[in-house]
Amino acid sequence: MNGCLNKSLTEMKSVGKVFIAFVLILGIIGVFAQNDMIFSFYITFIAISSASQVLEGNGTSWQTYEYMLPTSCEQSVSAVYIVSVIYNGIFFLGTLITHIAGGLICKAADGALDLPKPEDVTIMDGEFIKLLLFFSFFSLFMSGLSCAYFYRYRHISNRKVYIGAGIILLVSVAVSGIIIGSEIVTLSWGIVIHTIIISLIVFPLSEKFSEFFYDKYRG
Amino acid sequence: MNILLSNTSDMPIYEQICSQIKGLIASGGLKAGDALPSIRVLAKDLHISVITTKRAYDELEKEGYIYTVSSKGCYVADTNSELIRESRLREIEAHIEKIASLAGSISLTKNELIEMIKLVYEEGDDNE
Amino acid sequence: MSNNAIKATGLNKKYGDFEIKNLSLSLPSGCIMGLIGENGAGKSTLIRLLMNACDRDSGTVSLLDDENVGYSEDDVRQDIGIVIDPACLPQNYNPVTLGKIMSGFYKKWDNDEYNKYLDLFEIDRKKKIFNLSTGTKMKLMIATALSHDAKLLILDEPTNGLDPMVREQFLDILGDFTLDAGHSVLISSHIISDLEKICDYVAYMHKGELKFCDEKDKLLDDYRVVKCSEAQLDDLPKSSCIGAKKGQFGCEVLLKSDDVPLGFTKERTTLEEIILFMARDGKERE
Repeated sequence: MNGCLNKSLTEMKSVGKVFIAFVLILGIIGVFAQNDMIFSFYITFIAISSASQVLEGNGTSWQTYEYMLPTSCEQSVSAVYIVSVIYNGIFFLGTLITHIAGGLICKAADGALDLPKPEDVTIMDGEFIKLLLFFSFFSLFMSGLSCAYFYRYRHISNRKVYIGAGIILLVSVAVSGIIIGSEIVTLSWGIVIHTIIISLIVFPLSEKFSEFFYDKYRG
Repeated sequence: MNILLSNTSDMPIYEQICSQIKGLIASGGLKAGDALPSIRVLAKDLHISVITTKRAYDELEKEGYIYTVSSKGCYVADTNSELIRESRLREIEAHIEKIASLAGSISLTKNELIEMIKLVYEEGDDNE
Repeated sequence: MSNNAIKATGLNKKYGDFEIKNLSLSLPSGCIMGLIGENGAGKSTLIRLLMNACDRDSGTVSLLDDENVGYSEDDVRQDIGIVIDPACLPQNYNPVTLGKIMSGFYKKWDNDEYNKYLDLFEIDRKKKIFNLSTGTKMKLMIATALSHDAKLLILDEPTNGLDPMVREQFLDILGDFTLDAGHSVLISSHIISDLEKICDYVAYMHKGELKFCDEKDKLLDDYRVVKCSEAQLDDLPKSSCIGAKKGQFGCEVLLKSDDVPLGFTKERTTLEEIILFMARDGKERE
């Protein structure tokens, strides 16, 4: 196995647990709260996590080192992409699990608690799963674009890579918001605003990103 | 064998190495056919550069004190150690002549000069 | 020894207001070159340029007689050991996992060698890397650089954070490394006395320019420090005066050895002193 992929996967093993936990918690909260905004955040999180995969490798000083190790661009980029695919898988499965689990819990409670009725656990009238699928493909597409960008500019300063990836992210999210249609225009705006906020916070800190969650998780 | 480089000497380092190896050959510390340490080992040990050591060995080889067997190393050549001794003696004589002329310029007597040389030797004994 | 381990010609790189200007450098194989310079003089940038880890504006680089550095996974970098500061190894694993990851990069990775260095440097194999001290991280990085049968080591301040004992040990390892005539080292450090012990060549960088690059022993042989009173300063030849340090009770002047007039006592000096004199002189001229 090539060194880059090996490194990314090993890194994922330690950080991935935290991401899964995060997805599940957010998902369950979303199901019970039946709140569209929480879900819009959730979806943004999926989209951004792929991009942050690209940037995470880019922001750390590991990158400087990796450039000096015998690797090819293709190897480091494919490592990023494969990991981002795996993350997407995790999110997708995580969402399904929380969705089903939410439904089951509501059914079990059956009105005893102040929870939504089981048949109500369809976020946005069933649109949600469709949206989620769309975003999964979309985020893969985006991380593909980021990878291409990364590939082209891997020798250039970090700032340019951040800005580039940020622009790709923002434009594609905004475009997708328009595509999705007017009835969920609130959602699109939510995504855009979240994206701006999160990209402002996450990108400059992407080198600390995984470590932050990891340390939190360790207590 | 010992090679001691002096930090106070004005002699360039490669000359110091040359002169010490010549000295060792003259005193019998190194005999004909003895292997010299490899350039890299010597450089590492004395904390000097490979280039300097190589230059010293080249110099010695040019003067016929050592010879190189390719990919094996350097060996002491079969020079007459008497020859080296004589060349050293000639050097000493030349220095003494200089001392004598310097002494003459400030009218230092022969005995005073001998006293001075004795003093130098005594100091050397004290230090040991 | 006609082969060059490192050969760079006419390197240019502009980074905002920092610039590497027309830098040429060559290191014959089998030698150790020390790279000296102030913080921000461009040493790390130079190393990055050499490894093709950032794009150069113009110029050529060849490492171990190979001009295509950094474009595939089996290029010349397989034969190069790297240490950069800060030691930026991935944080979340222990040294054993790190060894496994590095074996994915280097075809000639030798795990026994790696374990040998872990033992030698007394690195705790079970601790995660972010729990290791700065010095230990550095030692770990040195271990990875030495464990794949490299022919060229490029070390950017490898002795940072190491205690004197380990530093001595490390310099010894480098000495052993170059006992093989095909092995070369480029090492940058602020501890000039360390470099004095092991280097064959010394390169001095200042503000992105290579001020000189010369044999170490030649520098030590060529320059002498003369101590004199301030009044005597005028008797010294101006042209060969490299730098002077004036004190209340006398002056110290760095001169070319051959140009010291009779009557002055000249003393051999250390590499550190020579560099300091030159650096001061450079500052005064600016």
